[in-house]
Amino acid sequence: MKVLDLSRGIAGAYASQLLALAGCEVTRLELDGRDEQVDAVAWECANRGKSARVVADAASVLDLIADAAALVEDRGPGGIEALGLTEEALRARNPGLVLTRLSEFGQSGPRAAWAGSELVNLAAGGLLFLTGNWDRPPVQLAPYQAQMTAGLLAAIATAAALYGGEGMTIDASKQESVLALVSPAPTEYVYSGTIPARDGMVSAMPRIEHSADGWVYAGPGAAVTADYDLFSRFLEIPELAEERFATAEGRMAHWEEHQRLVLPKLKERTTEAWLERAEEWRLTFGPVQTATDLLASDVLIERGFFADATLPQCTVTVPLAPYIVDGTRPQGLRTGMRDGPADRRPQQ
Amino acid sequence: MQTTTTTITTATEPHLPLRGVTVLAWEQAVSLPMGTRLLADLGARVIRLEAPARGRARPRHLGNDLGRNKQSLSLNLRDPRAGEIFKRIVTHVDVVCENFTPRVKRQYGLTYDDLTRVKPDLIMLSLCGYGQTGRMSERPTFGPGIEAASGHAQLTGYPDQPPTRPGTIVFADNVSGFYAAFALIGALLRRRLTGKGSAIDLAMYEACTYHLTASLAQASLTGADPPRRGNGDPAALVQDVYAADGSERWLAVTVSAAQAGALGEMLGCAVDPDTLSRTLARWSTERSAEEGARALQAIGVAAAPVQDARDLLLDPQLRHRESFTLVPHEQPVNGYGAHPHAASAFLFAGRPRPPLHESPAGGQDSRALLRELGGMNDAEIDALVADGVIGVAGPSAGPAMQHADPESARRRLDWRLIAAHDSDPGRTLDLPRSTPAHSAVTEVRA
Repeated sequence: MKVLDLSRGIAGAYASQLLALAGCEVTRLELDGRDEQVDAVAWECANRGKSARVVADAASVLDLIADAAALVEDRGPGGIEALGLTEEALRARNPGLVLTRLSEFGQSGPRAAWAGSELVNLAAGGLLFLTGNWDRPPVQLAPYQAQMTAGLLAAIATAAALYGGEGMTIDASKQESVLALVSPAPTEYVYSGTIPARDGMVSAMPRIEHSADGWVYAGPGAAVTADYDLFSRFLEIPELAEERFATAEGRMAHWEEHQRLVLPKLKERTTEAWLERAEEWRLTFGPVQTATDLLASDVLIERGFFADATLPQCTVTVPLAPYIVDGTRPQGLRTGMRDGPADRRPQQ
Repeated sequence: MQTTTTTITTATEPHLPLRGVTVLAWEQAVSLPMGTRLLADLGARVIRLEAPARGRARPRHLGNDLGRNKQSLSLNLRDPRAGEIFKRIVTHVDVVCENFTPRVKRQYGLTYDDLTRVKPDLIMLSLCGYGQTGRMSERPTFGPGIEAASGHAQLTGYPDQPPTRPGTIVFADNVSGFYAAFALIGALLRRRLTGKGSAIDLAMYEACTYHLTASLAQASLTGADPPRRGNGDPAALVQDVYAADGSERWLAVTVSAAQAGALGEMLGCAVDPDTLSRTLARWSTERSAEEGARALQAIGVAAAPVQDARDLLLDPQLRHRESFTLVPHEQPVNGYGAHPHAASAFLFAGRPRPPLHESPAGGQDSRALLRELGGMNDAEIDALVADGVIGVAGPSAGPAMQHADPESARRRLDWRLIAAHDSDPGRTLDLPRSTPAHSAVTEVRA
């Protein structure tokens, strides 16, 4: 199945890349470069596994649309229309087309014309409010998480529409994609009236703290059910078993003392030693890995997770596919833009 | 929000492209249930397999974010007779998926090899923390640990502060569930072309690491770890979260270099990034986040209020898109006949959102499913119910999530354990007091 991509951002480029991973033949139509918010390496990574084709104008897109199964774009309301393409014209050439339209807030509605960004997507979708520590302002996630999530959900809708076999327009919103990550928070509000706070689900407990040799995720459990009796014995800090630390409210009231007891103790062992001990005690500790730790992860390497990908101007190590099929990691995204010579790259 | 129920009765039907696909979801926790929920949102028939419940079942509405629109089959797989029933049902489904550690399916004799003997073109997805192979494959895991292991925590927060978790407790679960849904639809497309099923091995660790492709590529180029960025972005001239008027009210703003002039003119300040940011910080505290966002958007600057859970439900744009759908209850919960839940994550232009049906009670559909797909008659079913092999829905407990009592809410608010409290969210949202017409909702379900 052939898929055309007119995207300018990571969300659209990632949606069509996932379709390539699923076996579609994806062609990126080069018309006007990438969005200014996207850096070159991220953009090239999101375009691996596709071919590229320079198109001059709307007429050349219409010429290609007849034998395409899907067209993906992320230009927002009126975006493809500004190029001289309309849904009507596309459907006149190809009634069965699946047209995937990604935007910041949706194709219509009171905020459809609002501008967006990764930070603004996270804010509008409800994830920014929840992220960060209670004593600092809300803070964003790792780069491109709203874009990647919107691309992933748009790819799911597009692949499903291709399976269903009926021409259809998908109206995918980044705001709503972020909302799909936070559904427990609105549900808690509608039934209990409680509006979850930043870090509210885990506050009043250790989070990620220094160990002897790095960081360790040191969570005794969920905030309401955390067993501080057990945690006190596990950490060998008798004071933690006292009544004032038994509830989240009590720990917040005595937070400074709590941290004075816990933080030095966590620095007494290495992360690995804490993880081993936590496993014996069935506590939910975890390693805190960096990007370079992940690139060196023996578990990932052994499972064939990474490959070197040749991009137009550099070679990078990237994950090949998020899953293994019939014992083999799909290899379709090993290449860069196959027909995209360096001089066609959007300029920095 | 109530328009949701009226759209259901219009002539246009929701677009449900996976109609006709049957999924047996042997699932627990959040990750896979979120993935199969997306398949159900898209029209697949999802049969959720669970162990017979002991005691009173938990209230159905608590499962609505994950279990809505699914059917529930309850089998005690510890009994070999349940395994035989499982295999009989597998002959009628397109997809089996499970999210237990790998030894569980081996222990019950329900591996892909076992199941393709009865259903050669089966698609099977196995989701677990660290994958089906490798030294960590049997390690039980949970979302927050995966967020830390897969690099998200290390990249979130401020350079001078510890790594920070993504704020939604289900981040790693939901991301993994979304990849599960995508992998399964990809397998369905492949099966249509080749006639062959497939076995998919999906690790939460890998799914969440994959979601960081750009950061990994960058690190591989430089050999160094990118620093935590706070709220900054090198592509923006100015980007931050500013305090707005009110407690816990914030405004998120991204200013590009091209917008500096227009913003400087509006704020009456110089156009260098530091001055713009300092002036924005003062300007934003003088107005609501909503007003601030509107004023900035009017000159083309990307901005939005940092929305909390209540803001999301009241957001005019999400209301326009019907991003929340009312789920009718059999009996009113907290005095209301229906509550809104995040809708199907997919909007097909010109079609209504699919109706949402309350999450099934455990074992609610066992009898019907075993008659239809298990080839069993009532006497056979009754005998196995009596032996504890099959579970059927028992009495449900009363609502477990009720309006928080004002005193405890005030205490939690004082200690910043919650951001705010609303003593009657149903009134704020104008929810119906009685259960909306159930029949209109069920008619569309094919």
